Amino acid sequence: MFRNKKNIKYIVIIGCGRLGSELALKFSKTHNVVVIDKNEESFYRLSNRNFTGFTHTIDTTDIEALKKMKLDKADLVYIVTPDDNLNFMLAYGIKMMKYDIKLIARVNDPVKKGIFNKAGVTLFCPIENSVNDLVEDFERIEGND
Amino acid sequence: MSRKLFYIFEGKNLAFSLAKKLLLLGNEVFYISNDEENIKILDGLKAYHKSLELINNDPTDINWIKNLDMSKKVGAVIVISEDDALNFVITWLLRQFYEDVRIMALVNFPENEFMFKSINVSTLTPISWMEKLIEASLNYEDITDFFNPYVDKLSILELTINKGDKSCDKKLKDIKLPKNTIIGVQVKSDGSIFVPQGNSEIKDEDKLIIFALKEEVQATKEALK
Repeated sequence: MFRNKKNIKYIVIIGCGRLGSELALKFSKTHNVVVIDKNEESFYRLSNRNFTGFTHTIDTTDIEALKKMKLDKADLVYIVTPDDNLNFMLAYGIKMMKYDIKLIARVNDPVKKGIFNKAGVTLFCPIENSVNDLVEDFERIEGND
Repeated sequence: MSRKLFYIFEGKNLAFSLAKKLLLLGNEVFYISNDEENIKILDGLKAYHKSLELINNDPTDINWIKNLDMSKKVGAVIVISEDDALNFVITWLLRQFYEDVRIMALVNFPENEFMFKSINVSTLTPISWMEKLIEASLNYEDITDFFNPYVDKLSILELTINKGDKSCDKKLKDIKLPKNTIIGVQVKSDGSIFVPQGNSEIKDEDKLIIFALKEEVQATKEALK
């Protein structure tokens, strides 16, 4: 079935590690995806896996270079590098470019969530989410016994 | 110089030299780093300086930052790791809890400077300094030392004049400056720059570059601001 063109979004993913690459593969099936990483070799995770988006090698610590990637036109920006401090600084800098941009930042260390919350940055925390899932599974199994 | 408390966050050899200088000037220094190796670098100073406190803690710990002792006379909080993102998180957190404290940060990549400035943090950008130094020495062969080699005796001040300041809307000849002080350069708000004469008028938002002997700095500020 063909998708309605209006539903196709422009999604930018900063960081092409395990998480960023999986996100890019999934979204590229139905949306326009651009993946950015400072290390060109990171894109090997997308090769031979039917990735249909674009990749750009840019120093992710260079906010000026990121500006040139038309981030302000993105429907959604995911910041998923493994460095919480960098994710915070990028989120802040990108929001300075366009205040109402939709942006989601990864927080690796659950302890750091408070900083992102205080700045009003939408976040997701894979470790906390995994722990919650595991505890829920455990409680369900216990409940069935 | 009255005794003040300086917080230094992170940094290795730069932190060592800075802490040493501030301690020699009679100040109190609290050095904070998440890296034990950094703490070891500064540990050598403790033998001679009892006013140095070394704290091994995560400087992005929000609760710890919130409870910093700011009751003493704080000279500045100086954040000098080699990682701009870490420096930004620390300074941003500090600014959330301490609006009026002077915060300075090392910015390794000049393109990140605007974010620090947006939260009222003074920036130290060595790359920009070096660019200016190289540019100056290429354009003017005589200028080989951009920095002040007489820093122990001579201060080069940069003061921004605003409406209501004593010198605003006055001619240079009508301002009584302390002895051993001279206004060397006037920078207008549109970026134009010149060496002022007696009839030059100081206007709102002008920046003045002033050369003054160390002991005249306070009196100079009082005469102009």
